[in-house]
Amino acid sequence: MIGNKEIWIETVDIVVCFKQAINESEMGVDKQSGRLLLEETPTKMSEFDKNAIEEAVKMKELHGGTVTAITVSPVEAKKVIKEALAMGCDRAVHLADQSFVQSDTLVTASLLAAAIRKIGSVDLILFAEGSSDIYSCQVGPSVAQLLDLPQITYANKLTFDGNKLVAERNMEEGLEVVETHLPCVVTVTNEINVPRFPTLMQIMATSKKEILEWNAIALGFRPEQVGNQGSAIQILKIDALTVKRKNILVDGGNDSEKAMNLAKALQKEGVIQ
Amino acid sequence: MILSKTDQEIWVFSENQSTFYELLAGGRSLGSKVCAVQIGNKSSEETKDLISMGADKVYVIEGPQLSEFQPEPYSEAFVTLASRERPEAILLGATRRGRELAPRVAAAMGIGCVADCTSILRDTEGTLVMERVAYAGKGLATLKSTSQSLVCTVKPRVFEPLSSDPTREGEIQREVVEVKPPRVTLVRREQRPKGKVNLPEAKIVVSGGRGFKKKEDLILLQESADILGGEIGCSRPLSSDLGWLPEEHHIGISGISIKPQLYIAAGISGQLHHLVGIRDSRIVAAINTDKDAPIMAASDYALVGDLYTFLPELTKAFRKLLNR
Repeated sequence: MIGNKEIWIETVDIVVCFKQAINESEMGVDKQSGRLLLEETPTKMSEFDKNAIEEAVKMKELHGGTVTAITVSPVEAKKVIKEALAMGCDRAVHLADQSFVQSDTLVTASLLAAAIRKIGSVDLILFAEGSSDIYSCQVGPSVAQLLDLPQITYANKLTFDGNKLVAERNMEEGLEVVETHLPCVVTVTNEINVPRFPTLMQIMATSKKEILEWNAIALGFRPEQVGNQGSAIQILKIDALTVKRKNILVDGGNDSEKAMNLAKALQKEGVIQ
Repeated sequence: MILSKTDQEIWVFSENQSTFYELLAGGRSLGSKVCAVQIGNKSSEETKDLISMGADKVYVIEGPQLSEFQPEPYSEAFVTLASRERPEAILLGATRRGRELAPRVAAAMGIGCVADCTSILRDTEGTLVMERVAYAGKGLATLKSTSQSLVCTVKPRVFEPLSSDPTREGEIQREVVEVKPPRVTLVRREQRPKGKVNLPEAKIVVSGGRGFKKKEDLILLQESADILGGEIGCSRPLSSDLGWLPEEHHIGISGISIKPQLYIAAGISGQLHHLVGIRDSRIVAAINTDKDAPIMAASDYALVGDLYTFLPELTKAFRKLLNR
């Protein structure tokens, strides 16, 4: 689809993929059944995705080009799409179909890959390192494989050196600097930038921006190839994980006393000796 | 032990040696023939080690592009071999490198992939069933795969490594695999000095977050940890953003998980991404200026105040109480 870009970088056409995630900090548990109240929980843009969008928009501002934001969501996603547009993306594509419910990471990646092929000319595909609710970190590399593109994960810094993209990666053992030619897939960390807060003007301007909606058929999928039916990974159950804590507020007359009271409490618990 | 219904192999690989050994033990716990995949120019000594640590068979994969870990050539090598041999599952470590290899292999083969498994067992029918934490620690998902093969990344320390048995015998199968050269090239690598810290095994962890104003102040953590014979940890900003502590101190969803008897959080607000890493702590104590910080609700003992006042006071109190 996309040929090697051997010329000096002039403009970059970027796709940034983002997710409407469960707002896990507002997720409740049904007291009687102990079931997680997933459907009732509000959604939000996956935290780290803001870094991917920010990086895409910054790159466009520096080099020129376009930014297309893509999300897969079987349910309504207007709020997060508007948020991506307000942050500076030029247009958005909502991969929307009832049949996408419970797609696993590979099906999600297949939908994104199909959408990127449909868009056609793309230089760079950005993702966050992982989503804030599930954090499997699988979709970016899966898309790279499906489109036969090189991948750079956990990028802390991205720059262009002539026609090469140079990335600093934060790995467990240390820093690593790698480079590659476009097109490629990059996943970025939370540390790569500070995402902007859109201004009121930018929020208002989103009403003029294009939002495309593509369903399974438009992407070339039959219903049985997507969602729960098309996914190898089946969710058998999701149990609520709760941790009971004592929530004791440490008190005392002055600072030393408070500290001593805490130390004594910990000694009584038998956790210091 | 419930055995597999098939005689399919379980493959194991990690670029991290201790994780590799854990996964060999994990494979054996599933009652299958466990095959280590040794890739790159490794010595025959290392092959023997893999057998003594539990491998029934070692695939020794060699090729001109395979000396250094790179997701593209490594996944191509895995896919070439796995498409022929059809293992039941490929277990990889849930390290950053494991997490970039697993999805490429799964996507190329069109098979299921489960990331960050915290448990792998067989159900009564012999099917592999995986557990993983979801929703930033609020849920535990139980999953299975309907595909012929499956790729899993497994969190470090889910399985205990077996003790080495140098008398064990295993099959060795050599494979030369031709793969395309990687399109990503390494420019340089700056190895961080590796500390001796072993946070996942620590009994006491004293940890700092954004409440610390400068790197030098981390001495307050160290002093407190030293008195208690504990280790120091941190939330993500201190390691990944500011670089004040190496990544091996980073506790949370993108770092490590710990299970100490006592966890003390100083100046850590307690985002869910941090809390998921400390959920197995027996007792959590927190010092924070904000009484409404999420860490306070997630603690057994909450002390409202400035860590710059209370951490030294607490160290003093420990010293007095423990006669040190």
